[in-house]
Amino acid sequence: MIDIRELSFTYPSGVMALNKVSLSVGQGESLGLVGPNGAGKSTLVAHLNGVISPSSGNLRIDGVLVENKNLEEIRRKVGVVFQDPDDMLFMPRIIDDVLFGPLNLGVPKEKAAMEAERVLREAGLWEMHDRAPFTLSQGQKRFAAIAAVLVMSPQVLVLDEPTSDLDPKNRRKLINLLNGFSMTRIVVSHDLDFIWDTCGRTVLLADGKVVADGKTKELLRRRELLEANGLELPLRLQD
Amino acid sequence: MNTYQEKLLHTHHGHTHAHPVAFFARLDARAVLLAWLAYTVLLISVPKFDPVGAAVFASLPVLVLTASGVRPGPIFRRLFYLSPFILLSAAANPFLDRRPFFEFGGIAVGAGMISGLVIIIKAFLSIFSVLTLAACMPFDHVCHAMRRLRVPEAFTTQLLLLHRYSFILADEAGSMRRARDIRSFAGRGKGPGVTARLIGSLLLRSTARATRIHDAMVSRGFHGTVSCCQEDHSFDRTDFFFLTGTAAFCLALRRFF
Amino acid sequence: MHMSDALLSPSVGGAFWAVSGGLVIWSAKKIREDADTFKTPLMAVTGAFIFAAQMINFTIPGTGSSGHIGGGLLLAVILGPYRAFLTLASVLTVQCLFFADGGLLALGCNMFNLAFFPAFIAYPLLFKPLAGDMQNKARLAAASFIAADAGLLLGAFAVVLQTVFSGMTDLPFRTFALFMIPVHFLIGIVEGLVVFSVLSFVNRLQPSLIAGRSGQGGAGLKNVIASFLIAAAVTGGIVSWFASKRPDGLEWSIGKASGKSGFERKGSSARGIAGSVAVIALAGGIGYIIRRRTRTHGHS
Repeated sequence: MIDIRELSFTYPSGVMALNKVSLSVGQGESLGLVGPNGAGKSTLVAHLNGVISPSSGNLRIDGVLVENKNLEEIRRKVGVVFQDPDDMLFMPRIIDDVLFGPLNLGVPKEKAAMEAERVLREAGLWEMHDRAPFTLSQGQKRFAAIAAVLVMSPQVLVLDEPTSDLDPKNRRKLINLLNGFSMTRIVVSHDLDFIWDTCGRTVLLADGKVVADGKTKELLRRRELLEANGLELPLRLQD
Repeated sequence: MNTYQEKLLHTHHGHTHAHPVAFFARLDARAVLLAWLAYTVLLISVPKFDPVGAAVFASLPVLVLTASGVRPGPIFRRLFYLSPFILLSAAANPFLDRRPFFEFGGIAVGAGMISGLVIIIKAFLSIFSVLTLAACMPFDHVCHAMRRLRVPEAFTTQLLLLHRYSFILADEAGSMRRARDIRSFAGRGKGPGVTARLIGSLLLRSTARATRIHDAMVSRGFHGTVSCCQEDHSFDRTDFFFLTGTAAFCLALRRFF
Repeated sequence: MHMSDALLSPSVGGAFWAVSGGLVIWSAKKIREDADTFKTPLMAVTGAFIFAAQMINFTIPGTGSSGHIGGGLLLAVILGPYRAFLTLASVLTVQCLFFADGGLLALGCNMFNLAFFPAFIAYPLLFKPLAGDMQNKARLAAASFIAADAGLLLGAFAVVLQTVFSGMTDLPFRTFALFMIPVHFLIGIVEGLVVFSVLSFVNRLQPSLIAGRSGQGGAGLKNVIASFLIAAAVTGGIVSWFASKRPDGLEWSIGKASGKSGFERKGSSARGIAGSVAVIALAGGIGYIIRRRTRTHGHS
């Protein structure tokens, strides 16, 4: 489903964020992306739906090359939930945000409204569908942002630091929600226990390079590897 | 939530207005906006020396206020904050125009007092009507109505997004100002230089946020215009009667008072 | 300084409403030529920034009083004239609706006084030529002070003209002008200082932010002058059409300003007062009845 080949990216300031990253993700796989601050995780995520273009190398989603002329198609396939829900929810009401994507993709209004209602009910947010984002709690905003992406039925769902502002109950709710999905998923997170619970495979990124790639429950046991790259064992494995 | 944000969301009325109040719920917002425009034009057409003619215009906002159940307190509190400019202009009249207007209990009341009073009354009513209206209609309904009245989409979208992000930036500015105030003493550290630097970093943070919002927008297919999510009402007989009724009532007020 | 409905006459208010409305429509059309989708959230966020920045007030050295930035010129430097105008107009609209700054009809005047002058006059005609590429600090400072002050002074002068032509207040033109101009001149100096500081700061840290650098945003000088002339002509035309319905044109409006027109005695009798109280009470009663019969919020 996702095929990344020798992807490199350097910011205008001269910082090389990604250095010949190669990665393949199969359909339906759930991949965790971990690494220290500045490893390039968010930069990689921004490439997945064409927000950033590579300096060299390329990537394909479901066989389609990510480049300027394919962006609309790519964005139908890949849904990215960025880190700050306030950046994702920019419309007056939650329902408006959930409708934003489908309406932009040309879905007729009635169908879009039905889909929006379905997704909001699944996320448990239908009662607040006409409230302003400002009146929602952080957890509700997070789920609303996810709903706004889910409604477009993406084949790939990407979440960037989804648990950073969630209370334990909402965090558990998110774990259950993700595990109920069948589309390809990529989760970027510092919360290694969350990765443990939701991702079958984990890639460790550091200094713009893939340092390790393997089954989550094996990779996250390797204390020396984790500590050498600015991480620690998941809490559940610590004494 | 600070008072700034409460005003933007009308939570100072005790709840968030997600819908128009029931009084307006069945009306097309376009009719409401046009009626308000008619009201305002006729209010300010009240001549210079006609305080009663101006005061009677209070009837419409009073009707809307009582019918809608909106809390009057915040609105009336705002009335006391007339700008110095208005106060000065109104206060100047009694001194500049001392021609006697009429006698009241043996005291001659000058024309300037009357015209100054008219200014104050009009100022009150202008504030009263705009705040009552804004409290009765959610902002996105107002913007949708404007769009259907052929106001350019770029402007109405701008209004909606501006409203949305005013809350967040008000928060950021508030915490920056508090951080500055905590570290300043006896008025030092609050001068234009420090403030300029605060404003500068607020600006950079704002534009960084704009970049992130843009990323989120294009990720969901944004290509320049924001599609409208509101249901489209058609302008029906109720709306027509409301509009003409309001205009006719205001004209009658002008005629008979 | 925000204009208020209470000081406006329908003709002056209507004229400026028409002009400002036209400017909004025209600016919206002009920005459609630019396909950069980033500008949409940028306008929103910088508009919110102006709101927020106006919350951060500073003490004016030597006077002990506090003031806040207007922001028009700063916006024009970042967004270019058309987008700056629309952004300022949107900020004024939100201020009108939620904070009752000005009034519905006065909004037209306020858009002209506080948005048109900084965006379409001060920025393209004064700031941009003087500041050049903003690398020279002295030129940047001069441009900031001159442009900020000019924008504010023109706005203040417009307020005086609008007030005097409306005739609701008796403030004579000369006194009014002599009061407004120096005050706004001083405010303009402080605003210029803040603009200069902010721009130096931004220029150092993120120079790409400035409009016109990346090739967008500049309105052609001809366009701007044309817009000003048209706006002036339309405004002047409408106002003087009303004025010239009386034989003495300008004297009529000045005469009105000094209260030499006839008094309206209709409403000041006891009967008139009683009648108006009755109407207001009746309106309140009707409203109360409506309220009792409907639920507060249209929750479906």
